[in-house]
Amino acid sequence: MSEWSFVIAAYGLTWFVLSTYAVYLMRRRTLAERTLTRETREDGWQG
Amino acid sequence: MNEPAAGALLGFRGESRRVLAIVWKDLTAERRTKANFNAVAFLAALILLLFGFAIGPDQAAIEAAAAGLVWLTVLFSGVLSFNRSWEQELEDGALEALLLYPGDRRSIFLGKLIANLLFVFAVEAVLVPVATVLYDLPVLEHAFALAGVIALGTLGFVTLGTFYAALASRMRAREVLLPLLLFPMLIPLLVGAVESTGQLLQGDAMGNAGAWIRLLIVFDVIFLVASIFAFEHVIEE
Amino acid sequence: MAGLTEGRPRLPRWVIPFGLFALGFFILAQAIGLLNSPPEIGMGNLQKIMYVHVPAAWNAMIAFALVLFWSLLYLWKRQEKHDLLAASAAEVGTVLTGLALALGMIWAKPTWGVWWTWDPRLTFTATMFMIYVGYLALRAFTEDDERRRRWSAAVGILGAINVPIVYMSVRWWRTLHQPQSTPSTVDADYVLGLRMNAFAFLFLLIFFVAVRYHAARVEREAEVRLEERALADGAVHV
Repeated sequence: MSEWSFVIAAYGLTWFVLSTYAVYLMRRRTLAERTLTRETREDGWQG
Repeated sequence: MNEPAAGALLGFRGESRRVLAIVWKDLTAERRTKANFNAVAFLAALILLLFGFAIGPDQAAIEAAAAGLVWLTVLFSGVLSFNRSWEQELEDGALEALLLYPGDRRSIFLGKLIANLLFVFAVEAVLVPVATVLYDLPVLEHAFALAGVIALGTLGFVTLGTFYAALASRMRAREVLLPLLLFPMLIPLLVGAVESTGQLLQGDAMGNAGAWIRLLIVFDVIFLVASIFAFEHVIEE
Repeated sequence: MAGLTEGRPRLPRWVIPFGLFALGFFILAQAIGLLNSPPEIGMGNLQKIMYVHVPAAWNAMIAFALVLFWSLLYLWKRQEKHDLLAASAAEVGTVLTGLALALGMIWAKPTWGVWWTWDPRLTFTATMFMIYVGYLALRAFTEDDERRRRWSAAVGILGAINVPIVYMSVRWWRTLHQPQSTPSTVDADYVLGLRMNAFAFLFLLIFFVAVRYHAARVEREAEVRLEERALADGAVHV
């Protein structure tokens, strides 16, 4: 039943790609917001 | 003649004159010197030779691949000429000076398009005879149809090439970005050109070339219109 | 400092709950696909790969339709948010296309014995992948903001125009050389699993685009404030 190994590979790859991308997006969002907070704070100092 | 018609006619004549001026300027400019043409034409011949070595001495294999090899050579050598055409404008800042009239962007694009087309046709005038000799191609049988296919394929290639080069020539890594952006878009054109050329070279017993030629025409028309539209709305300096 | 928008871009409140819903629905759809359908006559259990390959490919096309839509909208209205939406959709679409391509190859190997075959779907997917990688490369290599927006819109539109043309030409190309046995069209047994997974991927697509777009807005906002501050500092020192 080597067929199953391909099915498993397909599903495994799908879950891996989708979850990795989801994590990447959440991280990108967090980093972006941190950067913006820093920029805004420094704006505050400038008045 | 009533006002609007006269205005349209004068506008058209004015535009054609501007287009031709740009064609002339492009073809006679320094970057388009004979030396550059010679280099590109020679490179094309060299690529054909390399393909010959890559496919191997078996004539049957070469004949089977010939149409594809010729068109790939057109693509690889032609792509080198598009960026140059735009780089001139960048250097002198000539583009800003040209943009005085409303219809001018279209004129610039068409002018560049025609200049590039003439250049690539000239390269093909060298390339096709060389390929005919190297690969022993029966070009005389359907010479007229073959010329038509070459013209159609080249037009689509140059249309998109001129457009993408307008962008790539202003970017870093322009030599790699132009093929990267352009070549995937050319895949339908490549398929149509290679198939119809191949059919014609093999005698076109079943008249299949016609369907592929129609694909080429559709491709050319759609992307000519789309590129002109895109250029007018997207290039602002 | 005004920045790009009046306030700080906020992730809309529906996004995270929707993401959780999408995740749950996805798990459900995948389970139904895997467990509910009997092995197919010709393909056996390989048929189950269709439940990930086909939805990924379909939704990639939806993503590229969104790229077209927002690119056209940008050229019309010239509002930056449409450019960022188009770019977000392009990134998600490219990910889905790459996945669909890999899955197509995983399906091809046991079916035809080779990892690659020049069948219409694989070649079409590979071509679209290349076209949109080009789109992303253009954005990455263009530094001027205004230019990047305008040029991406043009390239996105041209790419989308080519989708039907590429599709038709590779199909003719293949059917001419060799009548291809394409995977069977879906029987009643399999429709439920396919539809559910198609929607599952769609919900994920929406979630991904929403988060990507939000991140893009925040990044742009930070960038704009940085530029404004740099200009202001420069003015002071003059």
